[in-house]
Amino acid sequence: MKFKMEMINPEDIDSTDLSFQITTREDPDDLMASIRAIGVINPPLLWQEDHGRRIIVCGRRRIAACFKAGMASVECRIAEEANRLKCVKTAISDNAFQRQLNWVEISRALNRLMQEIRDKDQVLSMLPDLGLPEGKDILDKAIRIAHFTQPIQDGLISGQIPFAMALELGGLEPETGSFLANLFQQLTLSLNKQREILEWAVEIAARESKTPMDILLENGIQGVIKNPDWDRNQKGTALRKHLRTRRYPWIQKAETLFQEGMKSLKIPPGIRLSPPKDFESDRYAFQIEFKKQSQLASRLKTLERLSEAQALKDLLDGLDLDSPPAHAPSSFRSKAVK
Amino acid sequence: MNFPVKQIFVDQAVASLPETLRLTEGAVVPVEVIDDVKALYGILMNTPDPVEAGKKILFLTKNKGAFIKKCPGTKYYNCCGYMILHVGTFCHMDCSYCILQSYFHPPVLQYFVNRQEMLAELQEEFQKGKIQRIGTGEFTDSLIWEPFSKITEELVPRFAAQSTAVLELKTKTVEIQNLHQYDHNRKTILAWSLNTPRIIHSEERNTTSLGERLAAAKTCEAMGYPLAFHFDPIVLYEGCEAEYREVIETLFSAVSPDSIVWISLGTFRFMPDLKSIVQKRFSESKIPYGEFITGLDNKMRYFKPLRMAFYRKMVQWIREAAPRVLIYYCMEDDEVWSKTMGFTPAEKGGLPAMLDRSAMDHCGLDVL
Repeated sequence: MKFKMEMINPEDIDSTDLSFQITTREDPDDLMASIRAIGVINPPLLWQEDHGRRIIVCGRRRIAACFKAGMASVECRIAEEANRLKCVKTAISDNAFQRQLNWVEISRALNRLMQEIRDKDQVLSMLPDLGLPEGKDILDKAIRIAHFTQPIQDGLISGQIPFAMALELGGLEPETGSFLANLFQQLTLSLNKQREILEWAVEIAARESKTPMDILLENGIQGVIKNPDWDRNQKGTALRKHLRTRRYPWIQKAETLFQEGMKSLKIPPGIRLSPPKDFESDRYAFQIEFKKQSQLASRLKTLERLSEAQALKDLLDGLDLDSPPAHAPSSFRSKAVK
Repeated sequence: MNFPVKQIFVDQAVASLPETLRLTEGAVVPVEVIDDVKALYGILMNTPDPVEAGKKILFLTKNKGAFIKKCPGTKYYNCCGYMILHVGTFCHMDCSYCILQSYFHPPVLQYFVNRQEMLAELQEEFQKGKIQRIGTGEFTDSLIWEPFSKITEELVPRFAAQSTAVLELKTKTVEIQNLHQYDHNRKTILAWSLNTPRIIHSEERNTTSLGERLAAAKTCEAMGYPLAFHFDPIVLYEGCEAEYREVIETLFSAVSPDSIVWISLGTFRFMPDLKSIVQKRFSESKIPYGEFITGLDNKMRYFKPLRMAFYRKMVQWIREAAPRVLIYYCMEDDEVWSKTMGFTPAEKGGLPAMLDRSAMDHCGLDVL
């Protein structure tokens, strides 16, 4: 690209035009010290369209740092014989070949390209030369990110919201997506835990003909989030437990009943009773640990006692469906047929 | 109900078979002969909804495998031992819970025209001389092909002429217009899948209403055909108890229990892949949001205590109206049987034997 050098004052720049901005970093403070010490090594690039004010193509933070450091003007390169597309490509390359772009920056870059070219195949063919991730699938997904709400973008930039989760949050109503993005960042949850919370809230809402936001604003959830005595780990655990109980009331109740039944069996240490996974098969398992033969004999006696215990019979006979959990659909609250 | 196909593709390998010529002669939709099915798959995969598109394209081809196969049961759950007569795949009706949406990649209406091979295989099966229950309704609906192919014309008389096997035609249609022509000899069972009007309305697009199905069953009963009914999938939802009970009452006000060879019960279960398909294609559907666990066959199933609680009620209501009708579960374990029916299939010789006996009683089957 051809350019000429010029000293530029703040009033020469249209700082409201963000047509070529790729970076998500705004704060110029870290650059100020370097600029004070050795000046601007790589002069910013500006472009002037139709004799209007100059628009920044590359170096927004450098310019901001210079003016913040008290400089009256900054030496800039002014693009000549350029057009918007050329400037977009230059802005992308300037960022992408210096550092790893975050997903919001990639999305901005893709949106700028699509805005200028409007042909997806042509954009796809340019991506490798511009240092952007390749592939139609990535393009289709990443291009959406720039339109997501700020909390989702912030979560992506900070790394607290993974790419896959951001796409899911971006597909929700903006208010819900923002709420969950803020919540996930506040509680610093892993992707799997974020997924559980999102899935359960969405599915409870779908089942009950409500919106996910209705579910998230329920007292049970708000009480957890706003509990001043809990740290974020406690809140994360309590939130997931609450939502799981709402989503799977019968399964949760079965697990609780099983734990209560286990207590009444008074099983000593060294012996463990495991229920079938999800109570689906009819196979229960005892596991015995022992160090000596005498200990094995003693534990086998315990097993013999347990095999005759009414409490074990009750436990194996199944769950009491006469008292359904609070969140079960009302059709199951009637007395079960015996 | 018509046969809503917009285009017919013909596999080059079967283009000159008599059945192909019969089916394409005078076709009112475009007919195209192709030598590679991948071309057809390409067309389907480039549509916004390949499942929907596959319901509007008919592919006439050859069944390259066996026409008669065992129903794919799994070890842990009790299987009925049904044999599948594989006449075609997929369906033009559109049920949210239909496993065929994810079973074929991509799904397409396929009809097998190597008819002589099918009939030869069937004849071999008859000569085995053992009691068999054979159905066409596993990979497709048994009667959707009627307006177009009259397959019953080939099958019903053949089953009528032997005495060891029974044909079960399982459907959600009322395409019974050809059935009065045949001397069926009670060797063909007409079976309807039943559900509550709410589920039929919300989850079974382009199917017939409960009233239409039962009216068709009544007509078939009058023609002397044995009947069967399948409450499968039973969907658990708020208010489902009263509605399923009403379906049972309506059923027995339409047909006599004596005409019914069996009634099956099966709660909704699905391979995990189906969930996202339902969410995408039936965005208003609530069926993916029940309390499901992963079953021992890797299908998602309602939590067992919920299944058992509902089965107990269904069995009670059916027994109140029809104490002698054979009720069975499709793919449930011994615990479900014993806690809801009071016995396990093994105590009665096994589920296949129970069904065989009922077929013998109702359809006059006999071992050679």
